[in-house]
Amino acid sequence: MEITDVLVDWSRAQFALTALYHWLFVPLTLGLTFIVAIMESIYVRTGDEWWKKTTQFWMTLLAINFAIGLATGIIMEFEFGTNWSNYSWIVGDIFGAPLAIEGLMAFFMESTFFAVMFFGWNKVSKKTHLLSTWLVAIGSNLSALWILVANGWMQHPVGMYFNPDTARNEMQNFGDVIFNPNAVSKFLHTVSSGYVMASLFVMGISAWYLLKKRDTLFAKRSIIVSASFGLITSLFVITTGDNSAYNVAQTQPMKLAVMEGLYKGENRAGIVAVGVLNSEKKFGDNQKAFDFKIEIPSALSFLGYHKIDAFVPGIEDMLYGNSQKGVMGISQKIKEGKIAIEALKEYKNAKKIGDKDRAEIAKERFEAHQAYMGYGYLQKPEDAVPNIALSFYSFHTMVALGTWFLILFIIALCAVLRDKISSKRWLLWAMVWSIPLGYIAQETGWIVAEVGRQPWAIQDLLPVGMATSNIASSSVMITFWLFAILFTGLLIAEIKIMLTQIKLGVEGGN
Amino acid sequence: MRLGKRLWLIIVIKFIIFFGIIKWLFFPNYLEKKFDNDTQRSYYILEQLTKE
Repeated sequence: MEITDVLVDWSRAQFALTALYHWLFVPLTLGLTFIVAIMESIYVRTGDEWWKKTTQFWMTLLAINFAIGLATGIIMEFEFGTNWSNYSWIVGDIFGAPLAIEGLMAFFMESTFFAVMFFGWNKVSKKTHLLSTWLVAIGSNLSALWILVANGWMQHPVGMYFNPDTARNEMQNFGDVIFNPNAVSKFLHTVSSGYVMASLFVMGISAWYLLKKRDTLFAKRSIIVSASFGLITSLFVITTGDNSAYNVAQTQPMKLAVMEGLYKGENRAGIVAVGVLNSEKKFGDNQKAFDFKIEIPSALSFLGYHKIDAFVPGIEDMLYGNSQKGVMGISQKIKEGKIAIEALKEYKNAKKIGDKDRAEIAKERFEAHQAYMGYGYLQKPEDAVPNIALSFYSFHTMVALGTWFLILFIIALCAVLRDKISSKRWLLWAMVWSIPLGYIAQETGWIVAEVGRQPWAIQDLLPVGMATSNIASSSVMITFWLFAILFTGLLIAEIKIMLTQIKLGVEGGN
Repeated sequence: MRLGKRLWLIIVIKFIIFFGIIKWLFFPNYLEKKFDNDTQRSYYILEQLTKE
């Protein structure tokens, strides 16, 4: 049985589905744990029982999100073993360590203190309870750290050696894997975006109470905390986003080019603030890349290389090569990759018949060309280009929404501090509708990260087609729809239970 | 209390579906199931990586 495009596409669709659903639950937990910790800190400091009620209300919504989202990520681990077995084998040694640490340290820390946080009111002292709440927040975020370290490694594999005897990447330097710049910026950007999401959630629900003219003191206090937290973390998201883009420029230049729809590289490259891609545009033709665009001059050069006159390679520079700028074309990389694969095969065969000299020569040849090994599996250079429209529009949606959230936090904070927020119904409705927008920003962020790095399961080393297990595509289709039904059911349960609890209000729900 | 019971029920049902049905029925570990040891698994992956 051959691995077909249909199988690869369904396997990818299934993984995307589970990851996108999983990420509906995670960012709220990451951020809400910190918000309740801040609220409880105010309660412990002031002794004001209203702050205790406020904390307990948001903690109840956190419990709903945690309970329903719990273990949705485990499905992806099932998929690694079944649908992505080649990939799992090849990365096993690298992924094993961070995921084991996550399981042992962060998960147990998170779970233990979750129990104290939810069930420990009036059973432990105020300070012990507060400590547990903070440890839940830290533990949840530590869980995310290890997963994102693993993801960062896939985007920029470092600290390892590919062992041609075992066909596995073996870890050489754990520090390089953890402090991989790609992983660090990914972790900081991802978790801080979760803080923004949770701030939007708290602010939006509080705005709904103000619109309904109920629980107003609770709502205003919640808005002060969430808008302040959201404002600070939005600024952090911008900083870490800038750092992420810099890392992408260094390690995944094709991703940066598709994020910006940049076909031809240029010095002083601009960022498209608003634009519509030309859907008729083909690689190498003379058509314009955009039907319409408003550009910020030199901004992409600065974002990617921290120099306003830096050259940013475009998609066609990387496809066909640009010797003047020292950019190697994909065709050349495919040739290099094929040499690496041929040498690996030669090594395997020489070892099989016990010809040590031939094996040694083949191994040296393999190691000399190994950096481009993944390209050897591509059929044509165009296969190395991700979906441009999806990457471009997702990236610009995420950035536009992030900018909107920053403005919203500033306006909301000013309005609530001047005690004028209740009369601004347009602002309250904008806060309510920004909750779904927050989720859209979260998901588009991941689409940029994951679609933008296609066709790679491991950047430059393993394309998704080679990472897939040779299983029946029909079984992947069945489980895809099974998960679609299951996760949609969980999402409906989450929304229904949340809405019931929100309608009960701060007095009714504790 | 009603909410707590409902959440525990969802967690239990979810775990039964995830581990008792989905994992067991649909998601066996492909390489674990197909091969007896790591040497065979390595060889298989090398074959996959180097096939024409």
